[in-house]
Amino acid sequence: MPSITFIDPTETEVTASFEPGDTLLKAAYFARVEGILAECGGGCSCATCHVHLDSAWDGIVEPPSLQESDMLAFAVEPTPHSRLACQVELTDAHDGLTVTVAKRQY
Amino acid sequence: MRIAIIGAGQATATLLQTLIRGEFAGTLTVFHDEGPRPVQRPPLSKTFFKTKTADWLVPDDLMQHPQIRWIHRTVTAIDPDAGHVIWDDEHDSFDHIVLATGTRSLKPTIEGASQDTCHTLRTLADAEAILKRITPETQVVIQGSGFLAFEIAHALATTVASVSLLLKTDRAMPQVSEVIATALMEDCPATCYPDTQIEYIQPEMAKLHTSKGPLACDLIISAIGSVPNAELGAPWGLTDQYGIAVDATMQTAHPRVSAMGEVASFPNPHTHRTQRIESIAQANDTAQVLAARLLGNPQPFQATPWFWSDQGAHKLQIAGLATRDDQSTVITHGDNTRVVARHQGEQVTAIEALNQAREFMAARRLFEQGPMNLSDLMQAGSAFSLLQSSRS
Ligand SMILES: Cc1cc2nc3c(=O)[nH]c(=O)nc-3n(C[C@H](O)[C@H](O)[C@H](O)COP(=O)(O)OP(=O)(O)OC[C@H]3O[C@@H](n4cnc5c(N)ncnc54)[C@H](O)[C@@H]3O)c2cc1C
Ligand code: FES
Repeated sequence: MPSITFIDPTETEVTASFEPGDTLLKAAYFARVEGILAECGGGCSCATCHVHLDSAWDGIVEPPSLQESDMLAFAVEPTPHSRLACQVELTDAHDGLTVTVAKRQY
Repeated sequence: MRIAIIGAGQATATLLQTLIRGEFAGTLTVFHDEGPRPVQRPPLSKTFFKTKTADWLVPDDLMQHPQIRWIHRTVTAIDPDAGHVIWDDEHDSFDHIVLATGTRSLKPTIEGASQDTCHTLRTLADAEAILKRITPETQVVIQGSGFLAFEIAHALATTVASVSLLLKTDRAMPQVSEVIATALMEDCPATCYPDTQIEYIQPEMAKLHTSKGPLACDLIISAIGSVPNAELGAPWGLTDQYGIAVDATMQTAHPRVSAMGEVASFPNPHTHRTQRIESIAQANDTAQVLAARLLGNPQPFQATPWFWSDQGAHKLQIAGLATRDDQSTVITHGDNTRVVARHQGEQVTAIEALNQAREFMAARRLFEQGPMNLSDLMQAGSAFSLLQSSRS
């Protein structure tokens, strides 16, 4: 199975396997990655699943929708690489990449 | 400390995660009676009929955690004085009992209806039963006026032959302002019948008789509200007119019993009313408050309510909570966006944002800062501008 490495807020690396079509949130949830609250369970309504992608993701991930960008604007210290984990759909092209969980969700 | 938790829904999922993260030292026994493993509810009325898959609510390692015992049984009674939880012919004793029993769907009695034709939607089993009964030829009638009824209408519209929606009064979604309800109604794929009551059904003729005349119908889904599962607390005087009565730390009148989630009733600091609130946010926030107390760090409930509903391509998000009689003032009105302030005089009680996530999030932050004033909001022109000016 392809996998993603999450760096949690304590800088611990956690590797999570996924099925293509899963969201980043689903992968993180089942690997019990710390620091992602996901209060709305993936509904793009809470902005507590904030993560940072690194530049290896450029060009191989769909850009955020307007709804997601609007939500992200209220995450803690968003960057141009900020995403909501529940809105990023994973494909085989993402195998082996790294995601950093936001230090704080509030 | 040995804690029994009765019910395994959203609130319990959050309580377990928070206690384990907080290095809770005792044991947790969870009684649950809804299928082998808890699932998330919101997708059942939004995406389930397309994806045909449900999302687990509790991750694997909590299902197998050494401190957590899962008992797949319905609890029939509790005895708080003795610390007993009773199920089948068995009982066990605990230091503390948490009632997290949620609500169940209100089921109408419809003359002529059979189990096959008459459904409600709350559990995965409910959703699977509906899925099993629908084909591209099915003529579905939904009974209900709230968010759930409209979500189901959108979710089924492309899968079945027809969807009719019977509204109890002439008003859809009475929880939100008329402006928002009208916008959502205009885009609803169902044929809406206002002020229409069901009289009886003739399944063999695929006909539903209503106060407005007969309708073609193979299947009814009733989304007419829910009833709190408060029965376990009633013999011990732990209930009020809404559900299980608790204080701001989720403690009932009995020191050994707490309650949380949508069965719990308490004076809400945002609305200043004693009430139960049916939402994911309420389940999470009450579970956090209870977890803090069980971890020895009690904090009163302070969260501002919030809610969302996905209806087809529309996303409605509400920060705060209004009563049905609160006034409505439109703040912005775009092509497919609406932002409405609900208020009691000058005091803003809720911001309803249709396809305007930015306003929803800004309003949540504003409510966290303190009371919101209507004239300030009108002057700023949007919740976002008001938030920015409050920060500069
Ligand atoms: C289809 C649907 C869609 C929804 N969509 C949204 C949405 O978009 N946004 C939103 O904010 N909210 C939504 N909600 C509401 C939200 O899901 C609920 O408010 C929330 O799940 C309440 O959580 P809870 O833990 O209090 O109760 P529940 O999730 O109801 O869990 C209670 C559990 O206790 C069990 N139980 C009860 N009595 C016993 C007993 N005696 N013994 C053992 N077990 C028992 C029940 O079977 C149940 O599994 C939706 C609800 C439904 C049904
Ligand atoms: S889980 Fe709520 S926005 Fe992603």
